[in-house]
Amino acid sequence: MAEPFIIAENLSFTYTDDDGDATEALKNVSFTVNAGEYVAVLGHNGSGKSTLAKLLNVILTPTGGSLTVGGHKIHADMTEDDVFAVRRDVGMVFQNPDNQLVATVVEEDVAFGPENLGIPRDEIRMRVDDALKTVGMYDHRLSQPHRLSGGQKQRVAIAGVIAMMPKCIVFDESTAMLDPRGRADVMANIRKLNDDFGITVLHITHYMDEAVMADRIIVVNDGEIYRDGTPKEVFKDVDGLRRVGLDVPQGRELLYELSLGGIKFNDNPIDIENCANLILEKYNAKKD
Amino acid sequence: MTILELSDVFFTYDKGTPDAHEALVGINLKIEQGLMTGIIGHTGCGKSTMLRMFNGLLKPDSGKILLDGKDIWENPKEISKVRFRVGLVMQYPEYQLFDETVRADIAYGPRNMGLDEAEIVRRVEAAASFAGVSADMLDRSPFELSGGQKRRVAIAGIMAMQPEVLVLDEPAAGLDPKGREDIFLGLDRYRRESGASVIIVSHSMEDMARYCDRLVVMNDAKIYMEGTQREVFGDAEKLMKIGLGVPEVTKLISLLREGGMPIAQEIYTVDDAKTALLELLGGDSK
Amino acid sequence: MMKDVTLGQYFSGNSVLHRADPRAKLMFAFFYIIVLFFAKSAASFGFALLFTIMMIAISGVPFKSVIRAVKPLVFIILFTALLNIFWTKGEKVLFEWKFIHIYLEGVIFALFMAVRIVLLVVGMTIALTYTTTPIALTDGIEALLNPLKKIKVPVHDFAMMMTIAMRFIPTLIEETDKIMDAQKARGADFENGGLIKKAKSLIPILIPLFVSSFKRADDLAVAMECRSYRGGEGRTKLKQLRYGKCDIVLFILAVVFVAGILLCNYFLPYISI
Repeated sequence: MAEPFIIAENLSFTYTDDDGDATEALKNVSFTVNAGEYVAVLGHNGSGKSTLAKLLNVILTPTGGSLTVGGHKIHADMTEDDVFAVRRDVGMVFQNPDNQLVATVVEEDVAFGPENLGIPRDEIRMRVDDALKTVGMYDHRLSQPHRLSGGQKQRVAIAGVIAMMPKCIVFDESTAMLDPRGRADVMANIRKLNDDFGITVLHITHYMDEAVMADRIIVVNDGEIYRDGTPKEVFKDVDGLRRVGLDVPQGRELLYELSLGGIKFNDNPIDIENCANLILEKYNAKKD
Repeated sequence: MTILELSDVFFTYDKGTPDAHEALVGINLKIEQGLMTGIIGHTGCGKSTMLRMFNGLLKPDSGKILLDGKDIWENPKEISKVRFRVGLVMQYPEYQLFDETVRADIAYGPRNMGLDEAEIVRRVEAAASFAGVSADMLDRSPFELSGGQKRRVAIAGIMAMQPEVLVLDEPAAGLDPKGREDIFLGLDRYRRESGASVIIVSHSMEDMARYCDRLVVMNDAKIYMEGTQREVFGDAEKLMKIGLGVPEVTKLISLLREGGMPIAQEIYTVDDAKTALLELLGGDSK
Repeated sequence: MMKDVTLGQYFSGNSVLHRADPRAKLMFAFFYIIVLFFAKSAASFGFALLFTIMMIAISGVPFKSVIRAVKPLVFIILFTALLNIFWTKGEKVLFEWKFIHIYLEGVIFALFMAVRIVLLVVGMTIALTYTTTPIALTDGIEALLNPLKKIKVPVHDFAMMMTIAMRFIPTLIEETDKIMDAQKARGADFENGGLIKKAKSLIPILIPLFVSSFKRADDLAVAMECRSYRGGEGRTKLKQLRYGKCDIVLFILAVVFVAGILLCNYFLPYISI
């Protein structure tokens, strides 16, 4: 039985701006993520998904309900040591690859986290090399970050997080500023971290084609959980997703459109192979 | 009719140094008046350099750029006039906003053109409407807007110059599906109502299929493919060779054809696929 | 383009000077400057010149680049030389016109001073900036200033600031390029017009640059916190500075330099100041 790593119960967060106006970014959200799971959090800009990421890493603290991450309860009165204990367990990769690299040499940047943790030098060396090999950036270990492409920078950022050996990594729109190659690279690395190292992954995104790669998708809309299930379950409701400003894979969209035209299918796959098979079945049945 | 033409254009960065690299090699390209042209290619293929050629931000090492048949570098002193006629919206253009109000920021370009105040006001409002900047936003500070709103303000800033050619480098990068659609539909409306030509760089084949009349594929500083959607998407293999692809739905259609369905290969959007399939499967196509 | 500006102007290489510990190089450079001021005679200046040329040869840095480092200083060198020529009083008059008197001593002094400034700059660039990466230099400075931590000087924070500045300078230069292009595309004119017009034309560049820099700083602070950064306390380091063979070479060079200068001063005191 898998153990829960993140438990949110009636979790709320309300922003108060300078004028004293309150905005509810998250409203009574409840969900659980088990250790070793790969979950995508899908939602349009301003849906509250980034607030969720910031809560998991104690950049923000809940204004209502409860949130437990890796056994640590997240609340406003945590001591600094407690906060850093959470951050040891939960690594974070952000959106802008330029704004999260600290050092002027790749390997020094990867070492930054372990250095902060006070890890002995020989072990840092090992961790840095391993992390860079994992993301395929070992050959660039002596490069300067600003000479790398966006995708490469983001892989260095991932290596920097792996080197801290967290139990869970949160990707906060980490692919939004990358080109297709960079995105594919980063996605492959996310999958690998989950498959090979058993790291719990929470990938926050608004790209449905990335979300379908997860084991489970939580759709956030207007501060609430709109759907929670496997990609196939979530994308079943094409109309609902469109209403909350999201896309669906084109294969699924086509089947849905055909069903509106009177051609019903008894399944709702999302990959084009299975979609094509269903259409061919219908066609052959009609021909006979 | 051709509005913008590149004729045998070459450009090398850091020429004469060990870091020199060729960004454009013998580019010949004609952009048709009044159409939406899409430019596709991997990062570093030379497309950003080419965009900077269109409006004279960069000068070719050799070759000519013709706007309406006239060489834009004929009189280098007048190059800023070319920039008013070929409007370039750079990647992540929200970073260029600087003025106190959205209205003043959009007016920056027209003001540089030396237009009179009444004309500026008229243009700002027209551009705001095309770009989807609502009237109540105009008197706010651009810095309090959301990312998507800022993007639209930046695009309006270029539209307000009423360029004959509007060039946009990944106008929808980083936006969510709704934001993307708003931008593309706005551009489409602008093109139809103003008669301007629009050139868009995008990585999304699905968006290209939906909005563009003509496509240009660049690879390794050269034009790799060029033509109508049918001419470019029709050769999926050639696209795949350089790591690009066709829209998902086109791949699905290929699978159906392999499975023996008599369906046309030239289908690039879900809507077209739906129409064709309903006919074959006998559904109700309305 | 602005992004061609390389920071620190480091030349990669594998010479003794490249491999030496940055702390040793900093101390060597400091020592070199002090000893340069001991040089008094033509012979000792000649020795210093030879010694510095030898250092250039050891470093493997192309001679042309060394000249480039001196070029921006030509004006200052000429200016001080002229001052020295006109202002130094001596015995042997070379030239006289109304109130202007030029003495042989003045010319010699001016020449020596010019050589001293050139050698000072060349020595610094060869020992430090051309052969040391900015990050190694920062590490070296931090290590040398470490004792100051005892009297509560925030040495680590200072070094961290230096590192971050070096990391972001290329990024900001690139960004400035981009913003300039974006405003040019809107008809901005940075070349023409008077001073006020030019200053005004900078606003559309500076404001976006400030806004994005603040955003970057904000992002970076959060990212650093998320990577458990809590200041210098309890931090370990991937790279430990360690003295080695190359540093002994540097030490010997320093001894040779000071001995040579002093011996030349003493035994070959011709034409001295």
